[in-house]
Amino acid sequence: MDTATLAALVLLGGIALFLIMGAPISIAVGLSSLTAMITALGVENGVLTSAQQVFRGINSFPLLAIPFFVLAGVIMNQGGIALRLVNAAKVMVGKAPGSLAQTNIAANVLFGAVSGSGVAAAAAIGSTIGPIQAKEGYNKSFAAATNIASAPAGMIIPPSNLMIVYSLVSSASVAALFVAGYIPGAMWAAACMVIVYLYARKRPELKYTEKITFAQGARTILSAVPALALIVVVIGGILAGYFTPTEGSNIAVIYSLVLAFAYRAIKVSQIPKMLLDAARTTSVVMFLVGVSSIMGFVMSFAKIPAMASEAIFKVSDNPVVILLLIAVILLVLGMFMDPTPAVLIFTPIFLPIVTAMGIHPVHFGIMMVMNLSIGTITPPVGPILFVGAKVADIAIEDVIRRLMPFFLALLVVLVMVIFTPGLSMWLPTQLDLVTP
Amino acid sequence: MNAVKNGLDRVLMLACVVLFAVLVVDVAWQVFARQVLDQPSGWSEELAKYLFIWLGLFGAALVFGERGHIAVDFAARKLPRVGQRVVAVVVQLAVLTFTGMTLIWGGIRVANLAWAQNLTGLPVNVGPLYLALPISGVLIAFYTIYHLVRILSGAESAVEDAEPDVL
Repeated sequence: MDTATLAALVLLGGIALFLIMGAPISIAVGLSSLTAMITALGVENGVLTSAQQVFRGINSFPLLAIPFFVLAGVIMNQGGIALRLVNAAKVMVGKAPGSLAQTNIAANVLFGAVSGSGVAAAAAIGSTIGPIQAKEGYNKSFAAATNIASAPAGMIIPPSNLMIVYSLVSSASVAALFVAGYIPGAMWAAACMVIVYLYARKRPELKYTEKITFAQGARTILSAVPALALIVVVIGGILAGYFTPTEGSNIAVIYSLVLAFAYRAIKVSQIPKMLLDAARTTSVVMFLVGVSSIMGFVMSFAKIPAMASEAIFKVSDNPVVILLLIAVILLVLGMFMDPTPAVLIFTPIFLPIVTAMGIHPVHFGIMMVMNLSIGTITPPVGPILFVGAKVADIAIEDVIRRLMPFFLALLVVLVMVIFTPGLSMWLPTQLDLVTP
Repeated sequence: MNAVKNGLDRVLMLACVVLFAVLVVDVAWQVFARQVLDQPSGWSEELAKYLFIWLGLFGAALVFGERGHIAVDFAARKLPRVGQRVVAVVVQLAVLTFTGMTLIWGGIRVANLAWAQNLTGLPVNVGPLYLALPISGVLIAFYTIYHLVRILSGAESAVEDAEPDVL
């Protein structure tokens, strides 16, 4: 056996073994990569190169957007911004059947459009609107399922922390990925709204009865304008070239901090706690990114991407079959793995295969993020599913039954996005962010 | 050992808060200097990257202290109690091995090699900045031994109830 094959076996076997044992994913990846590195380079050079790779992996200015977007999300969550978005969404939805569930979806979209996280949306919006729904006679499991199903839209609608991670491993432009997420993200939300509509159509008791005068409505929308203006400032500023995505994320922090103080929702003494919360979440991701860069080094040495593409092209050389195969693999992986490590580990394997078939890295990024987003709401490892069920205080099994129709609708959207490149590529092409 | 851990936790938390706060101000300054003062800063981006590395590694150490790194533990949860304990010990040993070899040993070698290498924008050399690797490595090693002892003595459950903490 040559060294490359041995390194590949050590790497993949080691990762699988340690993952099953429940080791932190960063350690499963790190220790297996280190061992493979040592098989290839010897101990002395193996540890040196590994340490260099960890450092080099985190030594990145674009990556710095993640802690800032996470911090901005924490501030928005506690700074009275989530509540204003829910109120504005309620006015926008009006008296549609199942209006409170529709409000939940709209609010998740708005929260996703100002922050980069799906988990934060599920927690912030679900805990705000869940109690109101319970009071208005909504089925608790259905309400939670709506919140859970629509929260991942925030990971597709920009800004998106997951897209930043993907851009790092794929070298696709962050601005292009951000813009590409708007239409698929809107389709995700629309699919959830259709399911809610079909459910609520036959249940007239779910009509919102509270009367809102025009003046009240206008005032509610106006009070959310400063929060929504964040989209224009941050995404607009990045697209117009006034600042980089990292600088834009920093502006999001300052902006939401100013808003939270203006709303008198936070005190200076709360800031250290918020910084620490955001630091915890980010560090987990940073450490993963660092060790994944050891793995990236070993992978190319062990020729794993080449082996994977050979294996896949052996199954079929029909692009439709290959894309479906990759989508199914990603769906299954997403069930067992959090999206960030999945992006870090599998982008280097799949991206060369799809680019060889003429698929644009930005389109594949959207496909991958959507695929893995579905994984965040499926058991056994579904962070948004867990958070959503927890804030609604119901058992996972009860939600899953109610989630089924949503899954079907989201799979339809996923297939549309995979096979209609224009849904992802049209907007960034119009803005000259990609050369197709 | 408990007292040492509590003390370390506090120092690390303070370090993370301070590093993060400086990081926010530094990048805000970068935008301000370029867009408002029209004088792009020559050092802010480099400083930001190194603050970020220290923040990331110290934060990672803190989270190892809390056993909070994301893991896939549904299989381990299905094991009988004894099996859970054996697996948990193996996992902690894996953490210790990776940390010892990559972060501590590899980190010291990298810092040595780059000790006198200059940075363009900042008045420090690259080498000392690499010390973030072995320092965080020693901290993680301490936390891991702490958990190892507690798992073996039964003071801590083998599989932790982790809070979902992803992007």
